[in-house]
Amino acid sequence: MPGPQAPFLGEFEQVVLLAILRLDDNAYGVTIGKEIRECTDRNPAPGALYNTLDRLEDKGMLTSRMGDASPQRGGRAKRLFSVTAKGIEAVARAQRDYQRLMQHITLPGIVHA
Amino acid sequence: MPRTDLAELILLLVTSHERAASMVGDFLEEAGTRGWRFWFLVVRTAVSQAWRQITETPFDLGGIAIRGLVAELGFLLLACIVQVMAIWTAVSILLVNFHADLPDWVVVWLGYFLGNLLVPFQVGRWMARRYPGREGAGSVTLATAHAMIRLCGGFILWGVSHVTGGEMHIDISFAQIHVIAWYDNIFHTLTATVFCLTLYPVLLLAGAAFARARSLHPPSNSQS
Repeated sequence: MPGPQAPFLGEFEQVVLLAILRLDDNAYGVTIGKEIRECTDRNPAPGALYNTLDRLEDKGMLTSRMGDASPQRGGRAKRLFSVTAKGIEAVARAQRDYQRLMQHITLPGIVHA
Repeated sequence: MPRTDLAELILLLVTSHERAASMVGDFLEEAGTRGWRFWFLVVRTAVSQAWRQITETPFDLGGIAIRGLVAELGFLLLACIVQVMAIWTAVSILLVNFHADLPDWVVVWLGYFLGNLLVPFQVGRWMARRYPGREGAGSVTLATAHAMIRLCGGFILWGVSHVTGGEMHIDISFAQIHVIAWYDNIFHTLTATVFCLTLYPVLLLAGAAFARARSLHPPSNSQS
């Protein structure tokens, strides 16, 4: 159960954190953008995506490490992201808040568990 | 310089080395080097990163701009000394007679080159050394501060001169280098403001890029 100190997240921050959680060990700029496109039909602006990644890392909700370099990437390493416990706590809190707000509301195409 | 290095250099002005390198790698993987999309991604991301710094840490960047103004004053005084030394060397050692051997515009243009072109370039280099990763946003803030100061100074003098009915200007110059030059002339004020918002930030960024170009190489594998 997330504690009361879990930080609030913006909507796009939640989307980015959830995409990284889905990607597991292969979350870097390209795959995160692709995952968001496939799951939400929205095309994230590159600036917005990298700003959000940096902001979440600054807030301690993400960590990053440098991965493999490849010729396709001009010899440049991937910056691989993973969600921290603080990030997971924040996403859980946000989802819990959404679910509470959704109680007793019926929206087209939404089936409650 | 390869296109990818140039792209990395642009991003280095607004973020850390590892982040810039990984972003360029991402853009290469997504768009390749050819075509407009690669450069669209680079420029849009650089602008976005700079804007984020300005909006999230406005007081930090204000501090950088103030320190930049002080550094610029120092570089201007240094340029004045260089100009005076150059003139002294030409007259005393090389025995140049300015009016006979050299036209007056040589000194004027040397002063313009030192004061308006070389000094901003040096300030950009200074900013890159002092504030790596923030020199892009810092340069934009400094240029905006400069433009505001010029605009306010010029309009205040214009207003005072209209009230008093006389001519007013503040011009502190040494050997054709203007350290402070405010006039009650609106055209002059607007021209100087346009310079502050166009060529001046370009020179700052060029200086910063020049200073950062030395650190261009793919980063080693490490924790960021």
